[in-house]
Amino acid sequence: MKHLLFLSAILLAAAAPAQSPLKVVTTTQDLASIAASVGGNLASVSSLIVGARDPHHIEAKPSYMSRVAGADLFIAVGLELEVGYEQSILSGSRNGRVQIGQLGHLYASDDVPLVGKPTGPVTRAEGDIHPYGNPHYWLDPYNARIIADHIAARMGALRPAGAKTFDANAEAFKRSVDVAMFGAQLVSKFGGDKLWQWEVGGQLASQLAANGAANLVGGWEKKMAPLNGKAIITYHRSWSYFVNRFGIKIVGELEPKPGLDPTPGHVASLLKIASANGVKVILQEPFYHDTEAKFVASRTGAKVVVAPGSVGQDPAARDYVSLINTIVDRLASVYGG
Amino acid sequence: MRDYWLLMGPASLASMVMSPVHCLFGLHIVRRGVIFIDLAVAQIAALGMVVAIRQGHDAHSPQAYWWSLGFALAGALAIALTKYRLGRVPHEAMIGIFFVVASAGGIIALENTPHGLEELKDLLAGSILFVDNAHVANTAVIYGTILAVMILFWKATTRISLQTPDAPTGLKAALYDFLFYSLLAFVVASSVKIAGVLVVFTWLVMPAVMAFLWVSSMRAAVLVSLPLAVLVSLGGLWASYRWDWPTGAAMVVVFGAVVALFYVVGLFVPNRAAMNPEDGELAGTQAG
Repeated sequence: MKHLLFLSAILLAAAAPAQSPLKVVTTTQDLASIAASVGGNLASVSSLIVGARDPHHIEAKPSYMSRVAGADLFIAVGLELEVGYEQSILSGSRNGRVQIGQLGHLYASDDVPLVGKPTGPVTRAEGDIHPYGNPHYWLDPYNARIIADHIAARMGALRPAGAKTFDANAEAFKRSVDVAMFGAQLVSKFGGDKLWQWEVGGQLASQLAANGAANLVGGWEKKMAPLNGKAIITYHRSWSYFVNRFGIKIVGELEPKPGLDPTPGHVASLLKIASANGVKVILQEPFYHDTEAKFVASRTGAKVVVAPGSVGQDPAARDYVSLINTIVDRLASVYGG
Repeated sequence: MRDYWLLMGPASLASMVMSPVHCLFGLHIVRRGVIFIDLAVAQIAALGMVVAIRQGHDAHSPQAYWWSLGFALAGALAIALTKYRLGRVPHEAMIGIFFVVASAGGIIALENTPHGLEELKDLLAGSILFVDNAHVANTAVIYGTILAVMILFWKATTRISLQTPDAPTGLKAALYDFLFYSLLAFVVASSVKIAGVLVVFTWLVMPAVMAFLWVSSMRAAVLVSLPLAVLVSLGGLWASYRWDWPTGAAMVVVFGAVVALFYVVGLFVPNRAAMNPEDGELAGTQAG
């Protein structure tokens, strides 16, 4: 295998210098995971953010700029998630091909159905609000499929010779997401596209029942079933897409406004909301303090669930599918799953 | 009232336990003019925590606690020693240097670790609203011990702080100093995580300032500042609840308002004690 790779590398290098692996730099590890699946061995992918850190804030380092300087494709989450550092890294890279608006720059958010677009005026008084909609869209597996297609199309545009491979890789990635979501039996019976069509249309249960396949449901769909219609509290407004997909309601947030300190009145209202809605779960990412969550939990009987919001925020979240797996398992365990 | 206690009870208890101890240290700190020592020690403690995290310990593990405590003590020793042979340089300048270098060191050390800078921010940003009662009980035991030791050496420490003619000198003074700064390091390293830098600084400095604006002897200052520290802390918590302000910030602002009141009223009172540089008799038990 190693020899083959080495040989093909030599052949590729000899055949066409342009066919060296596509150098891709992403902001988050989620995008890196999807891009690596799609790029396969035609791309080398790395992310700027590594580990459990808040994607809203990273310290600009010289190495970020030098890495972006050599990139063929820069992929960001977009919707102002990276507003604090993206532009300075791009400008500092002096790389004309990856500037915003160029073929080498991609916002993964294009074509993704968004939630949480503010309707009123947007001011700093509201805290860290994202005027273009909630940017945490990768936590919905349906959107991961859109992102994969999108990345494949852009990689194909940059490297037409690899277009077929990128598309095939994207299909394989989507299939792995589909199997994890619905279980292998359903996917082989109906195919992923059809299942998602039902799921997004809200008819999955009825269609499966009509086709006598209700007992074949597996994957995340099955594990999350006990949480359907349940109310939870989160720390930051980062789980909207995830809970929408699995029919969970977020009834409160520990952050009164994103990025600001809580006040006693806010905590008091959370305690009321938690007991009124029978909240069993307070969900938050590992990089936030858990003292607030524990305070509310200890007075309401809820459990604090710390789950990764991105690949790399937890040892168990190695790639996109294992990220969603980890979140699903930790939530389901509270409900006896 | 039940609602108030449910929300603000743990913070109230923590304030009653913690503010008097901070206040006693604060009286010495203010008189010695080492106002920012708590920030420096807190940052050095945070640096110790960072080193523990780099070695793979969890930030909340006992190992991390001991690392941060060890660093805080070493930092306190270094700060105590840099008091000597400074010539024209004020001690406070050296303390400021400790503070910024420890902060910068923490940023560099944490840059490539998971949780990096978030963790560093969190180390210094406790939130007193969310303290739990078990934590308060632990803190009470630690602080009780520290208080006992502090009282034993109160007299000598006070003489050094006030620079009286009969103050210990040489090696003896250095030992007393180191003891004082180690105890302070102990207090700050544990309290910053609970209450945050702003509130800890407030407890240390503001009651002492209120007292010395009006009285000159250490004994009188203790009698004035201890009850004030507790009362104003509770007032700050009440203000936070009443107007729904972020809790730590509310405490700091209420303390600030009381300091302003003491100062302004003092302007209209002639012959205030604070205008007399001479110091009264010493307070404290017979020891040392």
